[in-house]
Amino acid sequence: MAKKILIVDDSRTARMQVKNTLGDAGFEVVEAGDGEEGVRVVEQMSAELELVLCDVNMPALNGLDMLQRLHPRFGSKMSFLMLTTEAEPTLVRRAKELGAKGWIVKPFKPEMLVAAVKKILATPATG
Amino acid sequence: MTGEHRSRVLALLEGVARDLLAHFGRGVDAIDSAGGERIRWSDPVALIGFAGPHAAGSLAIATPLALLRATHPSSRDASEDDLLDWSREMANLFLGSFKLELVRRGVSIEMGLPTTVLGSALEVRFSGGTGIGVRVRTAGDLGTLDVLLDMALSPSADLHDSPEPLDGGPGDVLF
Repeated sequence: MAKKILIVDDSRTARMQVKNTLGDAGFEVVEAGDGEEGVRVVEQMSAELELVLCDVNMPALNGLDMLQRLHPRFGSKMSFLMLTTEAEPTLVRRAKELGAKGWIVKPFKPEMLVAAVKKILATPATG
Repeated sequence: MTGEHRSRVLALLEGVARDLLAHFGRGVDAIDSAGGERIRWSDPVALIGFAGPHAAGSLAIATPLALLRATHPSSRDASEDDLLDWSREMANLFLGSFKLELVRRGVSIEMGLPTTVLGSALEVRFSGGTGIGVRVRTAGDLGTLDVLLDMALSPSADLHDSPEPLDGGPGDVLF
């Protein structure tokens, strides 16, 4: 069964951009609209997901807190990649410490997102 | 905000506007500084707040519907709700890029979450005389993007012309 990618972003348009881009590259993408929903989707679909793309500034639960909650439980099964307008070094460092595999600064070029996703999926999640 | 701060901030806003529109393949015909106190809009206005130890305020961006539609990922099928969502994300992208320029100059802020209002003849006005505005006339008859920033900035902040390099900028992949 083909594994899936989850995009967690409070912007419907941002989710659509990611879904279109990765869909065109042959990936199946599912969506969540904030960090709380992202947690629920990961808990329900953990066997099917291999990558979580996650915004940082979101209502309900922000992306870094979501990463902190999910990575200890699911980091050995799936990878986490931050996709955000933020680029502040303290936030980037925190994401790395929490186990994220990468950080992409929006706005992104489609080919760059696909390349980053392929690179991350080529290496196993390490927990 | 000092006069020097105002001119530096204005230059940063203009640069961010040009870069953001260029990312979406849209040119700029002209950028003018607006009064900054009060602008009347009939386009969706996205508002986003920010705060930090040395700077705090709000950013308001009025994006013409034609420009939102032209840059939306599914432009032909986008509903008005989709375009309003896109206007919020545009404000988020704009403030994210502006924040990056501040961070490179030692000024850190935390970003809020954007919201959008839509009116037939909306007037947005910031009190206190701290507003700075830019009007960006886009190429290709897509209208004028209005950006209004209301920012209190610590007098000690140094928005110098030679910012510190950072690992990440728009479009970069880190780690």
